[in-house]
Amino acid sequence: MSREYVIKRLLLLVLVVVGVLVITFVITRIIPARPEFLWAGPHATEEQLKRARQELHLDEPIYVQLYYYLLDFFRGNWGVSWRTRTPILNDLLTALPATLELVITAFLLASLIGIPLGIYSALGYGRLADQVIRVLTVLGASIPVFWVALIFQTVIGVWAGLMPAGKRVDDYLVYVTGFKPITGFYILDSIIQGNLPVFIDVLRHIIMPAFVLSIYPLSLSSRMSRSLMIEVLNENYVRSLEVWGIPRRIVLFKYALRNVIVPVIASLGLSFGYTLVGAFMVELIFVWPGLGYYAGMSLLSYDYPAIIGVVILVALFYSLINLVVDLIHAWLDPRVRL
Amino acid sequence: MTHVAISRIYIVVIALAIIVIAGVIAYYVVSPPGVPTTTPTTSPTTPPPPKMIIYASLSEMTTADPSTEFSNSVMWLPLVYEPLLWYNPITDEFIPALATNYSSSEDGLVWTFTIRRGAVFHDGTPVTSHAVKSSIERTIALGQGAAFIWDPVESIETPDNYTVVFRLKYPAALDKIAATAYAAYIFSPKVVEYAGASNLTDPKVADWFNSGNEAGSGPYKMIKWDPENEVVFEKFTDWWGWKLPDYPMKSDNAPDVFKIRIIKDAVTQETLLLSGGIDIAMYVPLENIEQHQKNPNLQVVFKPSFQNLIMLINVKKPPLDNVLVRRAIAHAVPYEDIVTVARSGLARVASGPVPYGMWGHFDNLTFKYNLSLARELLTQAGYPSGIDRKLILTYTAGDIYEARTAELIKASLAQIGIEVEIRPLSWEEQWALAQRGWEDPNVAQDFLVFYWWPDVVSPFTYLYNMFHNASKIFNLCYYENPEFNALIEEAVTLEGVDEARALQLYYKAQKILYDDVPAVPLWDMIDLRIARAGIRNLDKAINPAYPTVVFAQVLDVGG
Repeated sequence: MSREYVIKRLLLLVLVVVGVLVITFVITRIIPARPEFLWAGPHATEEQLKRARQELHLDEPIYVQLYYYLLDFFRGNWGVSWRTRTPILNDLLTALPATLELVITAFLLASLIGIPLGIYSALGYGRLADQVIRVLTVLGASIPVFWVALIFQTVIGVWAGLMPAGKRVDDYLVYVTGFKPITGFYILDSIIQGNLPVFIDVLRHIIMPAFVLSIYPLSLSSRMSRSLMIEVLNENYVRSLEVWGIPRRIVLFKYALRNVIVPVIASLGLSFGYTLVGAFMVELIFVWPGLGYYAGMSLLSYDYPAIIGVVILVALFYSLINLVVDLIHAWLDPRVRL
Repeated sequence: MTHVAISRIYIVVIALAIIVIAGVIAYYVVSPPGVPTTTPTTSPTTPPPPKMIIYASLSEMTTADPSTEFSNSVMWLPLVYEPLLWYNPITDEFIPALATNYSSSEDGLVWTFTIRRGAVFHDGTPVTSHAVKSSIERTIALGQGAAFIWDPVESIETPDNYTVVFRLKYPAALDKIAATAYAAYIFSPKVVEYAGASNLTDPKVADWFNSGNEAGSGPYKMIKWDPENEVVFEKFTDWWGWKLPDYPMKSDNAPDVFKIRIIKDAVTQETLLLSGGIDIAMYVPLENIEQHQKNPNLQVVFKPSFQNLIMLINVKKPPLDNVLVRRAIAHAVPYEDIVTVARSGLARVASGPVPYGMWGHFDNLTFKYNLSLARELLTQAGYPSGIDRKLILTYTAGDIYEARTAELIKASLAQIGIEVEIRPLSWEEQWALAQRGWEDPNVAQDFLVFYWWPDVVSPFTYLYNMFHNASKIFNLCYYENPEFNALIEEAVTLEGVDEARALQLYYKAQKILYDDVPAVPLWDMIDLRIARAGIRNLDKAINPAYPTVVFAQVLDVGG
C-alpha cells in the first residue's frame, strides 16, 4: 500500500467533510426564510429569537456566517437541542456508543454465521442444505429490516416472551445492582464492573436487535462466500493441490479460504452504510437509545438543530468507515496497489 | 510442516463440550431474569427488594425549573415539588399539601395560609413561610412560563414562620391559583447557595435546576435526569405525608422507585407494556383499547381530560363574517361521528368551549347536527346554492385525531355546498399564518382546528385566551365583543368571592359564544392510562388538573 494512496484518501475525506458542512450550512441557514425560528423552536420568546439571531450571526454577510459555522463546528459547538436545552454534541456522543455496540455485534454475527454458512453451502453444492441456505439468504437480503424487526419483536418478545421486546438493559436490574455506564458500551461496562446479572441482561437485550440488523450483511456474506468458494474450488491451483494429495481440510482452510475472505470482508465493510440506515429503524422499534433513536425522536418533535447534528455525524462516520474499509482492503489484498 | 493428527473421538468430545457450554450460556441468556438467580434469598433481616414502576411518556421532558417550566415536565414536578394545595376538579375539592388550612377575607382580597409544621425539603431545610414567599416571589419576578397566574397578587407577607398572607390587587380564587400544575411549586431557598448565585433570580439558579438538580419537598427525590430518555425518582423517606395515617395523597405501598421513560410511539409503548418492559403506558393505539380491556393482565383507566378540540372560525373574513353562515356551519358538523371515528369513542361531544367535568361547564351548549337546518340558515344568509369560494382549514400536521376530524368536517360541509380545503401545517406555520389575521383577516385561514388545555383550572383560561380581543396570541377567530369581555373579566374576580354569581356570568358569556359562533367546540378528550393489572389506585393517581401526571405516591404496588 503506497503512501500516496493513503494521503490521497485522507485528502478526499477532508473534501467530503467540507462538502457535508457546506450542504448542511445551505440547508439550515440559506434555504429557510427565518432560520432563527427553526433554531429556537416553537413557542420561542422574543428574547430567545434575538439570541438565536446573534448566535447564528444572521445579520452578517453569508461568507461570515459560513466562517462562524465552520468555527463552531470545529470547536464542538453544534448548537443546543431546543427540546432539552442540552448541547447536541453531548447528546450525540452519548448515543453513539449504543449504536456502535449494536452495529458491531450485528457485524460479528454476520461474519461469524454468514461466512461459515456460505462455505458449508458451497461444499455441499447442489444438496438440500445448500438449497435451503440459498433460499433463506435470498430472503434475508430482500426483506425490509423494519418488517423483520417488528415480526421478531412481536413473536419472540411479546407472544413467546423469550427475550425482552426492547430497551438496552432492564431498568430494575440497573437500579438494584447500581450499574453505571462508563464507556457507554454496556457489554464492556458490565465486564469492567464485574456485574454478571447486568452482563447477562445486556446480552439478552442485544441479541434480538443485533440479529435482526445482521440479517442483511449475514445473507450478503453468506451468498458471497458461497459463490466465491465454488469459484475458487474450481481453480487450477486448488485442483493441483488436491492432486498432490494435500488433505482437503488444509486445501480449504489454508489456501482457498484466504481468497474468499478478503472480498467478503470488503463487501461487508461497504454494507456498513446500509446497516447504519437499518440501525435507525431497528433502534426505533427496539427502543435502543442510539443515534437512530435520537434522530427519530428529534424528527418527531421537529428538533432542527438535533437533526442536522445527526446528519453531520453520520456523514462523517460513514466516510471514515469507508476510508478504513478501503485501507484494510488494500492491506489485505496485495493486488490492490492504487 | 508437520501435521498432527487428531482422533475423531477427540473432535467429538470437543464438539460436545462446546455444545454444553453454549447450551448453558443460552439458558442464562434466554431464561427470564428470575429474581432468585440474581438476588440472594431474602432472610427476615434483609429489607425487601425495592419496588419499581416504569411509566412511559410520549414526549421528552423539557426544563426542570419549578418556577418557569410550563410544558412536559409537569409530568414529574408534582412528585418532587409540592404546592400549597392540591385541587380535585371532579369533586371541586381542595386537598392540603404544604398548607394545612387557609382562609380568605369577605372581599376576597386577603388570603391567609397556615404552613405545615414538620415538612422538610430534600436538602433537610424545614419548609417555612419564608420559603413559600421566596419561591413564589422568584416565579413572579422571572415572569416566565405560567407566572401570570400570580397576577392578582400585590404582596406576600410572613407574620410568623408558619403563616403566609397574600394581599391581592383584585379579588381572585387564590386557592385555585395556589393549586395550579405549573408555577405554584415551593422549593428550598438554599438553591441560591447550591447554584453559587447572588440571588434567586440569578440565571445560575435556573441553570442549576436545568442541569438536573431539585430542591423540593415532595414524596420523591429525582436521582437521574436524562430528559431525552429517562428520569428516575426515589422515595424521599422523610416526606411528612408517609407518616400521616389518613392523608389521601399517599399509599403505604407506594413504589420505592418511579421511572419515567420517554417512548414517543404509541405502538412501542403497547409492545413494551405487553412484554413487561414498562408498567404504565400513557398512550396505545386507541383502536386496540377494547381488546386490552379484555386482557386479564392489563387495566385501562379512563378520566375526563380538560383538553378539548376546537375549530376557530375567522369571523372577519367574508362570508364567515355573517353569523348565519357560521351558525349553518355549526349545525353541519357531525359531532357524534367525529367522536366515534376520530377518537374511537374516547371523547365527549363538546358543549361550549369549557370542557366536561370542570366547574363552569354547561351541558346545553351543544349544536345539533342538522343538515336541513344548516341549508336553511345558508339560504337565509343569501347563499342558497352554497359558497363559491374554497374555505381553508388548518390543523397541526402529524396529529391523527385532528386529521380525521378535519376530513369528516370537510365531507359534511360539502353536503351543504361549502367546499373546504384541508391544510395540515406544522404548529409554527399554522400559528404564524393565523397571527397575520389580526392585520389582514383575508390572508389568514378560514378555520383553525387546535387543542386547548388549562393552566389555572378555570373557565377563564378557555374564554379569555381564545375569545377576548386582548389575547392576540390565541384569539385566532379575531372575535371582538366588549359585552363578552366585560362578563368574563367580572366573573374571574368573583370566582374566589361569589361562586354562584361567577357561574352565572360564565354561563352568559358562553351563551353569547353559542349565539355568535366565533368557534365550534368539537370534542372534550377522554384521557386514559393503561397499566399492568397488579397496580392498584391508578384511578386515584390521575387528576385532570395535573395533565399527564401519575401521582406515584398514591399507587399501591402490593405489600
